[in-house]
Amino acid sequence: MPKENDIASPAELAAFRRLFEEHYVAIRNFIYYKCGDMAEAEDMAQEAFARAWEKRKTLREDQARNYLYTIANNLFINEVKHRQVVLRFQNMATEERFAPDPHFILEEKAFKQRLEQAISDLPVKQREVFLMNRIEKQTYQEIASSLGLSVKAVEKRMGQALKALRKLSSKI
Amino acid sequence: MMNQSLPDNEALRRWLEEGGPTPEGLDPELKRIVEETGRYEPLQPALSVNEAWERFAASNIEKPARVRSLWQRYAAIAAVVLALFAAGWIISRPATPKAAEPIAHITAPAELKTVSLPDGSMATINAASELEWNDHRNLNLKGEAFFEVVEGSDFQRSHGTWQRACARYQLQRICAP
Repeated sequence: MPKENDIASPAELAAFRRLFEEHYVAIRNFIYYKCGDMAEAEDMAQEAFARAWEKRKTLREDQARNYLYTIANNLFINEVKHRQVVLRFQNMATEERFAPDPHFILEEKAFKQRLEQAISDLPVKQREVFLMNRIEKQTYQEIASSLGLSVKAVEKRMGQALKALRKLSSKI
Repeated sequence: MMNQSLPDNEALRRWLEEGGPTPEGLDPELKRIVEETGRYEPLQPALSVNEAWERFAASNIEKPARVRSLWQRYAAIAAVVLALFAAGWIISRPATPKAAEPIAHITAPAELKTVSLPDGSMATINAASELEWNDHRNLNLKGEAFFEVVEGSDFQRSHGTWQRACARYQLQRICAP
């Protein structure tokens, strides 16, 4: 709840808004990748930013991203941790096919479903890193600093994720 | 025999971070997975950044309060107090009696009946009698009744012999032909 004497100056507001616009979608999606529920992800992302807002006077810009990810992660652990996750994705680039073969279309659809399932079944530590790279387009270094990990740790999780996905998604 | 092991981490990284070359001898299944997921967006409907900001600001950002003069504040309080008094006064007022709906009480032979009248008075109606009440100026009695008249109530004669009673709780015996 906003406090009586807590009115932000226009400069403070503008700076926070920039932070919000830079990181909101990534944070919200990060939680989504962990819990598979977009509404919950929105709620938790809002809460993470609310806490950052409370701390805005002491929060440094270079610390902000890591702070937001940490809060988001903690919120997830407290609320959602043990739930079975079901993630759904849409393919943003429609590929042109000449005279698509019905067999191919069916196979594509089956492949997409297996892949979604395989992603949902990944351990959350692997899944979050994998999707931050594939969908949020973050480099290993960015992922590492967001999550407070070493680059080596990110490499390891990416390798594990890819191995698991290849194994899981080729099951018939 | 298909190469089951992954390319080394460095090659993978260069490939997975935008613009890197595809590693040699890569499992085509893996390639397909990486390319497919590279085109993904989360499917569930999600807020745009602007919508998310609107929601955030509404919940978390205090708007500067309008400066109110002290006089305005006292005036507002006085208005609320007055409204409360008015509401209390309205509620506590006795209900105005309904106009002209006759109330009839009839007693059987050997029945004695005590009824309260709309003006607050009480009437004990003797056996085999009829009391019809229109309002306190128009009360018809056939038979016999005792009245306990509320102070201020103004019973007037319409039929028969009445003795007007104005005092509180004074019993009257009234007979009518």
